[in-house]
Amino acid sequence: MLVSVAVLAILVVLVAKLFSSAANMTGSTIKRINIESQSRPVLDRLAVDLAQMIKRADVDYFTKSPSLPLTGNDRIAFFSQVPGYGASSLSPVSLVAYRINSRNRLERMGKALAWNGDTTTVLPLVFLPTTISSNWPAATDSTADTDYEVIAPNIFRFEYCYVLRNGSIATTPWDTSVGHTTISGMQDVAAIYAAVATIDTKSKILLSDTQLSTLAGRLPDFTANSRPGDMLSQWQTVLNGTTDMPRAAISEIRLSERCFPIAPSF
Amino acid sequence: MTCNSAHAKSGIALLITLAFVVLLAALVVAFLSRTTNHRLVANTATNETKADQLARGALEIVVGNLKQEISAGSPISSANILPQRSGTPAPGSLLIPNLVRISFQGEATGTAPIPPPAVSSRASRLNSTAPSLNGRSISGARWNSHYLVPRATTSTTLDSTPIATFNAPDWVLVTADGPQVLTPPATGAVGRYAFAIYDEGGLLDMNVAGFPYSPKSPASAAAPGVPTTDVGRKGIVALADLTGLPTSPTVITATTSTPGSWHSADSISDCVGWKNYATVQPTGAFNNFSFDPATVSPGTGSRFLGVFLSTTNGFLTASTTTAPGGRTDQVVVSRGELLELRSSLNFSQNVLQYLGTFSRESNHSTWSDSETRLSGRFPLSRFDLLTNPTANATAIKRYFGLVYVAVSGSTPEHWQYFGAEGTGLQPSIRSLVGNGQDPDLSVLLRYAYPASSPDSEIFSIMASLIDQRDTNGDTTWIEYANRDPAAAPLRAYGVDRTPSSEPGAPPPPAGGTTVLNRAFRNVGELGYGYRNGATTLDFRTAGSVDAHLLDLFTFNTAPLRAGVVSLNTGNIAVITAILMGATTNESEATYASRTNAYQAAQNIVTEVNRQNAIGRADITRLVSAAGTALGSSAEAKQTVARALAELSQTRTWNLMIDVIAQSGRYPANAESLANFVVEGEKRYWLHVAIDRFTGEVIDQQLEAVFE
Repeated sequence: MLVSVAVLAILVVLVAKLFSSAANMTGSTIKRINIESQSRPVLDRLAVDLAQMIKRADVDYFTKSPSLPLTGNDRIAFFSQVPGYGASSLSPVSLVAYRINSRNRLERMGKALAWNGDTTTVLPLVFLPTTISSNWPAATDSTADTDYEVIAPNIFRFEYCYVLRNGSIATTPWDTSVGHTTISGMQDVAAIYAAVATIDTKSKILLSDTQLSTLAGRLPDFTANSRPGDMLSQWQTVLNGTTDMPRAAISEIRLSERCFPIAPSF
Repeated sequence: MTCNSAHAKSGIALLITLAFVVLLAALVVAFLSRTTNHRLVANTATNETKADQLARGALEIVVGNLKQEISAGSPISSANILPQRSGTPAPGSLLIPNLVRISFQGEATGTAPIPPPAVSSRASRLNSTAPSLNGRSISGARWNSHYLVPRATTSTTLDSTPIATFNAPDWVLVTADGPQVLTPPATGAVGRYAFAIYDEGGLLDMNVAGFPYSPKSPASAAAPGVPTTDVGRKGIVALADLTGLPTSPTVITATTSTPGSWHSADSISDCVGWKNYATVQPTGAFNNFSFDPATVSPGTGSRFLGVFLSTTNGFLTASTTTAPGGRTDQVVVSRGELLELRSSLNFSQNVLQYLGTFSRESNHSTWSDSETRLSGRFPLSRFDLLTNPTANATAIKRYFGLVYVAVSGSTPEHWQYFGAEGTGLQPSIRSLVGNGQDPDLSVLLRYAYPASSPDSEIFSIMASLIDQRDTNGDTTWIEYANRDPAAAPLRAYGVDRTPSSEPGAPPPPAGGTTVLNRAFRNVGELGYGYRNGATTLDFRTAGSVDAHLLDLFTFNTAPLRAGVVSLNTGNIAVITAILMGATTNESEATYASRTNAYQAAQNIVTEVNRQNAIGRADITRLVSAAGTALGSSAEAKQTVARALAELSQTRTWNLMIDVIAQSGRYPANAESLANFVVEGEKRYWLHVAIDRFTGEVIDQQLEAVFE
């Protein structure tokens, strides 16, 4: 009887060890899957929104520019021909906006717009000189709006820049070398280059919102002289040098980037 | 007992072991399942990205081929002014006016090579309607989801199935070496694409075309919400009458009898109300806008004309006017939005084949070497300077070479020809010198007319054009120096309501005169001018020496503008809408009926299909082809010139390229080209404007299509 119990105990220990090892082996992979399952859909969603973005010189864009430098987490708002939240019988154009909220979560606004003259309660697509900020301030600041949804609770850093048609990476969405001074329907932008930092759900528990905000603030912005890959390299360097926060959490932060083509350049 | 106890223990141990095995197996399965799903999602994303890159690459190739076609197509002739057609319905079958080309296997296999200077699409013998190994195919209805091909049915059920003569594009197979014509499958294939190119320039640009009606219903009582005189003068495609677009039948040919069903004034007004909400300020709401009757001024009609009769607006952007509540005018930002708008306003699907959302024209002449010699077209608005000769003396001398002489004693007011640079009477008109010039009217006419036309004739044309524009009834004359310095100056007379009583003045023209005494509204109105005080300028005879004037002048001076229709459009309905309501007789205020406009349009498109127009000067040929459909008088015949000259162009290819790309591969055991395994798909509609004369892409708009 004692022998049997002893054998069973040994077996239990062995199985527990087996589970522990398996969990260790799969844990990091699952965390990675967890992170990528958040960052990929977000980047895919952003790809769709940008592909359908209305690119015209007579519509407004709320994007990074010399007059809107956007230090730290970036925001972006533009009109796009994608479905949005709202009542039925709305136009196919929506106002789309992305921002990181105060709780370090990436939010997306998809506000459906009415057909022009359809209703007084829902605004339609507007053209310049009417701007996004004048009609939909929540798309450009931190105020709440019911059409925002948390699209990725674990993405705490969002940054983008422009790849101009002349090949340079810039934080200004127009080509000053040819004398342009306005965004003008993104006529000079060949692609938008976006980067996000994501932390998995379990690791996020180890950090407070304040710590995450602090960490997000340490990850530098794109600079005009950046080359592809420079910024993620700088971010990784910052993460590697972070010692005032739990290492177990910091080590599980993943950095992703993607280039979104805007328009062909013939 | 001992035996039973031992068996019981063994059983428990077995159960525990089995439980652990099951638990372990479940964990492993769950882990594998999650990673497998994750891999599938990752693969899908990767394949979509591949398809996107493939589609964009395909567009680069197609546009590159078009630019190569332009480069190789020199000198420009009626045979190469348009992109070559390939894969379109054979002659004798039902034509598809908008379809220019598809990716067509016949080009590479030699059964139907693409006409030079066009470049082969390198499509393989594999049609896009054939199912792939995993069952993916592109139906005709999907290819026609933009409704640019006539529908097979007139049913009101939403159905984009095209007419039977539409051949779906063939696949262009792409390997690591680029597009390849494959016969057996190649495992190196990384994807495939197929495309169709449509002539969007031959459509009415919805961002400009159409005016409101009041009342707008019932159809029998509908009347323009702008004065019929303004509709009649055209000058901008906004004054095209869209009730000239048939809703049935779906295919209109030169032999189709007058349709019985037309686009409704109600739907057109709703579009205008939505589009010009801030500037025109209609009453009512979306899908039920109301406008003032044309007689109300100021009202919606006058506000509409205030926007669209601008001579400087290219209509490339929305008006900056804002309405209460922060609303603005609208622009149809994509063909996708046009389809949605149609759905919301519930007008016929069958008019979509006549409506576009993207058109551009470089506002520059194409005749002869005018492309390099002139900086641009001569603005008709410069004639307005003549209404105040004292205040505008400097500008008049610059743009007309004339100096005003006020009435003095018994000598009526008249003009003296100094030339733009001269300081005294000149005996002749100098020739145009140099490139990129903006010459005065006399030098421009000297350039336009053959050397056999004497200067005196050109002066008489100038004088008669002044008479058309000024607001008095006195006949103008222009005094110019005699080549013999000792001789008295010479005079050239125009034609006005009151004949000149000066010695040597010509008698009034036979048959009466039409004098506008107002601003020119379109280039064709120059045809009211006279030569030598005797005969009107001839815009009705093919090869007329006056024809070039149609190309050298412009009402709207925007260097790049939207809404100008290709003169080579194959759409009878589009020409009908432009002609409908045009003034056929200025004095008697008669206008082109829909039936007559339709008949004239049939004749015009037949002539264009026989021989493409290479410039606005070809309009005189089309006027001739239209015959007497709009009347038998010279003025009635020239209605076609007045309606078309300002609203048409030949120099810009406005194309919509519909491309579908699929990433994927051929399995090692693939036996036929159809055995392609589709892994990702992407579709784009690229709207692109290419200057046929320079090869420059002057604008483009990429529209991602999500179905």
